[in-house]
Amino acid sequence: MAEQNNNDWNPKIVAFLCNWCSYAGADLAGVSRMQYAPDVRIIRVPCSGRISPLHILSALHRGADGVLVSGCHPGDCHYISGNLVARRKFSMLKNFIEHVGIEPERVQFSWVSAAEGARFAGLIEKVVENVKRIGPSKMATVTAQ
Amino acid sequence: MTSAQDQIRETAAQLLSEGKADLVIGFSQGTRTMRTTPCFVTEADDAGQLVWNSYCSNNLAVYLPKCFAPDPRLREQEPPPKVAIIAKGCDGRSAVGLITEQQVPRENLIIIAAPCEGMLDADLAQQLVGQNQIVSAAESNGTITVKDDTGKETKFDRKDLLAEACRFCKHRAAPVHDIAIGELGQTDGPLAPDERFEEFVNKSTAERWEQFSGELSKCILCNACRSACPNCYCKVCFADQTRPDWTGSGRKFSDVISFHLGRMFHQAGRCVDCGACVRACPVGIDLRTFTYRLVADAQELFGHVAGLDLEQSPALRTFGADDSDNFITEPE
Repeated sequence: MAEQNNNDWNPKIVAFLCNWCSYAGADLAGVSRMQYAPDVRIIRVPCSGRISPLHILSALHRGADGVLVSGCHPGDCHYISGNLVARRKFSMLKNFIEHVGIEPERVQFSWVSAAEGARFAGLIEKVVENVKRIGPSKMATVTAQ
Repeated sequence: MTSAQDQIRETAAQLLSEGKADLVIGFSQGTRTMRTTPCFVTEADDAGQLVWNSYCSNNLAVYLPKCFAPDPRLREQEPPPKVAIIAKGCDGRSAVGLITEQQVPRENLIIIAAPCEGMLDADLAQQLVGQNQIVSAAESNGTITVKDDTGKETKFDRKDLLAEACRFCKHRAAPVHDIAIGELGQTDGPLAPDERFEEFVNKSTAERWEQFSGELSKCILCNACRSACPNCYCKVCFADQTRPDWTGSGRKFSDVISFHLGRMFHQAGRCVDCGACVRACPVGIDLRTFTYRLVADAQELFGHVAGLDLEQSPALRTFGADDSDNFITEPE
């Protein structure tokens, strides 16, 4: 079912964006009137370091088809090292969810600065395309065998 | 030369009678054969209850945070007790982890390193023997002779009865200790090829999900894996919180998955691969195949091995400027 109808299907993607870079980047994409897929729900957070793996897992558990976390480029964090701490967490989380058989495209991480409106629009297009390709998430609807 | 068990009893009695320790955590004989039970000795006269054999498998470090947790009912806290723990490699590493996470004050903890050649899995022995109940077991020179209730004897090679985590153990002796008992095993053993894990890693994503959700479909949410784990000391576990309600009420299967993903990932860079969760699981979920990824990744990505060094910060509490960026999604 998932495979044939993916083009008509609109995924629900939760995007956690840091207040200082990625959210401003999304804002810039907006004021520059760049077009990007409307399937993301943006949640503004103070820093990518604020994102606990539980936020990501919980979003998937509640029915999100994909999760994107984006923060400042390494070295540019408003709080000096928040995104560096986040990077460690995310690299382990990404490997771990892939290990247990969740598609790696479900959870994606990126860096977008406040000046990169075009990068943000491109990123969303890519994430949406990736998630559309793998189809709806089974996390929320999975049943015991 | 006296046996390790006698030395442990002697040391415990001495520590208690000299007032160097208020409590010694060790093992005493369990009610059934091939079983031991955690034992808390506070009087020197009771030190004779302590045993040391091939079935002392529990991770005793799980009791340490509770020994030092402040009592919320008291306005003025009593000074923390002095606790001695009989430690295999895994207990010792967990204790070091708890010290670095500031759950246990180093100066109040006496780590008594005991020799460990890997603990044996009583359930596995029972499984191999079959339906007849094992009534006694004796060990000599690496051979275990078990006797079942029909009087039939079966001999096993020690290696064939090792618990899974022990088979792949790389740190048999507590890396940090105050007192050493007997001949401690190797601290840095060779890495045995972990075939079950390798086989799982080489499966496709869909197959891995099938196995993962299949294993977890046995789960009855008893939380024994959480209770047995020394790393699970949070005052309020994320799984018990209702605001926010991270995992759901547990009525749906997705709630079970969510709990396990959260619990496992909390072990990232902290797990010492002691196998306590696997041992505690009443329905026999193969948790290690999933959690071992975190142990392997911490070492591979950050060169971090949990619980070896008191100066080492937990892997996810710190960061490196040159940590890998290769998991990042680039738009083009």
